[in-house]
Amino acid sequence: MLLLESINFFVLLVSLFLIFSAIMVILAPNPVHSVFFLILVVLCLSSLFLSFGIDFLGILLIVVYVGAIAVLFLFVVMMLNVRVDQTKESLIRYFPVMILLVFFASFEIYYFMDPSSFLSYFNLFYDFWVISFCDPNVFIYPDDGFSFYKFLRDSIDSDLLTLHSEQNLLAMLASTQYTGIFVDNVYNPDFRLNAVAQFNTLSLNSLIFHYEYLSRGDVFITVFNDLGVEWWTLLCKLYIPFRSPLSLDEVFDFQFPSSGLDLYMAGFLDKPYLLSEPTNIDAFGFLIYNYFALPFILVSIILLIAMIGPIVLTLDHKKSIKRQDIQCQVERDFNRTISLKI
Amino acid sequence: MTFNLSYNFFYNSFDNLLSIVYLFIYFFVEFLLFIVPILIAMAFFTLVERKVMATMQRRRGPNVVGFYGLLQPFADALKLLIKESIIPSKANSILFVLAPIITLSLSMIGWAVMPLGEGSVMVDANLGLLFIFAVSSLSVYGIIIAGWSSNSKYAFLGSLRSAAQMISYEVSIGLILISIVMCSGSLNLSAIVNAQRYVWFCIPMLPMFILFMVSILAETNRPPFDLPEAEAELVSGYNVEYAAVGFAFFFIGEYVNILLMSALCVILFLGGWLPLPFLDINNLYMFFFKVTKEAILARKDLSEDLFSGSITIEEVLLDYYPFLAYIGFSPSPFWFIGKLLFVVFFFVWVRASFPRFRYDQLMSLGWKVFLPLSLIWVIFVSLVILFCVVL
Repeated sequence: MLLLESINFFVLLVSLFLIFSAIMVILAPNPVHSVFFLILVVLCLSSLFLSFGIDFLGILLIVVYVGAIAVLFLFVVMMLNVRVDQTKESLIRYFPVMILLVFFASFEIYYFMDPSSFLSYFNLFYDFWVISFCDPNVFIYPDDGFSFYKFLRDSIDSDLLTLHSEQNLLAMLASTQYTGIFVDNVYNPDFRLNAVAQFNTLSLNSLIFHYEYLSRGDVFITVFNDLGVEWWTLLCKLYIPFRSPLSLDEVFDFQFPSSGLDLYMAGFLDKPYLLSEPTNIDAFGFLIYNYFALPFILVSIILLIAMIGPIVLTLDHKKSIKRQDIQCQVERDFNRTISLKI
Repeated sequence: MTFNLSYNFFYNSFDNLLSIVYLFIYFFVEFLLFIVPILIAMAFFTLVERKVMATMQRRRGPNVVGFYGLLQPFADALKLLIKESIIPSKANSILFVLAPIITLSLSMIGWAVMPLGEGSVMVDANLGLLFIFAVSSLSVYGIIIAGWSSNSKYAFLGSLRSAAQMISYEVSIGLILISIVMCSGSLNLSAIVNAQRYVWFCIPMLPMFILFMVSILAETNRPPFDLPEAEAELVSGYNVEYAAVGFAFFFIGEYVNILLMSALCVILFLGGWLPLPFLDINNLYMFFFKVTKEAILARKDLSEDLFSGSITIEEVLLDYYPFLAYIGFSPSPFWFIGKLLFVVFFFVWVRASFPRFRYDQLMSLGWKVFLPLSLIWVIFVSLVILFCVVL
């Protein structure tokens, strides 16, 4: 109930402290102090996550980053015998790298702030870019004479959409996000209906891409499902066979547990309220184990390699060192431990 | 004596700063009411430890200070408070002072999500178990900072060893928590206790109960895993440079942490505040107030499933004797405290019984025995749930 919905004084204060701690990570002369400031950074970040309602990730950040990774850093840094005066070197040398990193970081931030209009930043090249970015052989569907352009022309003066100038059509298309799909070349805004049709016929048709070649160039129209996943997540489309194709009942009966939305839709409530929303963990589990199962497994394999690799690399069983074999010690028979050799 | 503190009363009135101040005062008083008994419990726990160990070693223990030594903890506390606080000269004084504060605060913060009875919890967090896990991960830092800022070799080595031991056993604790969560379906501690209504988790998950009891001994640096703070081997480890109040804080923090982990063990495995069925006072109520089977059946919502439609005796009694709503009595906190005392006694018992582990033995136990066992148990429980339980 105390969730934040916009920036306020608390968020500002914590963010400023976070930035201050992050700067002190670099500027602190003692490397152990740097690690402590890094811990402060993660704690501030976690408090921001918690205040925005992302509870699971917030606490997980503390468990993983502060509880494990920073401890690892601390162990290494404390064991190193770093003289404090050695750390006073010029930071100006790293300026070009910093510019590069800032560029890429802002690139990433702009993408995640507004993924749909991200491509409009590359106005000069995006049509060429977009087609080369995706593999059309995977997603293309046959064009049976329907023209999206014609459809848009027809709907320009209707209340579906209004255009001020046709030259901006391309920019508009690239910068908007449609939540409809095309089935049998007919635009249908009711996704569920079509999803059912798709799920019954072909199990891999969870999303549909529709390429339409306009006279002014190629336009890439992405169509989002109700989860809002993007085209790159279709790489995980191969793993939808992890779950069997949904039937009509399953699509309509699926609900996160104990949600009050169905009561509202059935008319029992005057205004919608959720008896309990799906928790963060519910949402994570839903995505990770259903749609992103193979990436999850791949990441866990990478983690396994990261854990076992150093052990394998550094393990050196010297035969000359005496070790303790507890099983052998426990199994030793008292009556035979000492014997006389005559 | 179940109590249910709800502060929704304040959330509608955030008109001005004063209402937020009232909220803070309310929380502060609530926290004090919760924590002061725990601190007193910790004080007497130190005495319990000394007396019980003494009894096991056929001697008396402290019996000079009060009646049978009951004022001993307060004498200890007074002694520690009036001693001179020494900060070593080359020590980093901010971190030196901060370390015991961190240790003590984190031990006490974990108590916020512990349910002592049905509804008797300060913060009924849906992520309560994860919160406690995060708190125990953070408590490693109190020790690392203490050892490093003391600027002393023994303190530093002791703290690193202690920290390595704590994080090693935290891994197996985490996996045991995962298997518990799979059985109960939620990270909410009250929900975990509720899931044990028909059988306590120590019975189907007995190996994990044993593993958990041993892991929390290692997590809290208790004997036989107390090499990092042993007086003989490492000159008492990370708290060697701490004199008076600092040492007092470490001492209090360690014992409150022991109580916290014992309470966690009780909640996860021993059924929390749930009574044993044959000793349930609800049955006693039935006997005294002569509630008939028909009265229960009238309220019971019988359906196909055997386990649904359960009703507590209090609901039936309230139909016939409404005045009981005002003198409501439910001994569930006493059950919790009784089980907690059992686990605490186990801690002391183990201290009196076993010699100390050598450090490499301790670490190899944590990584080579506990981790595989808890991992195998997680897989086993998930397979059982997948194939044998209708979800």
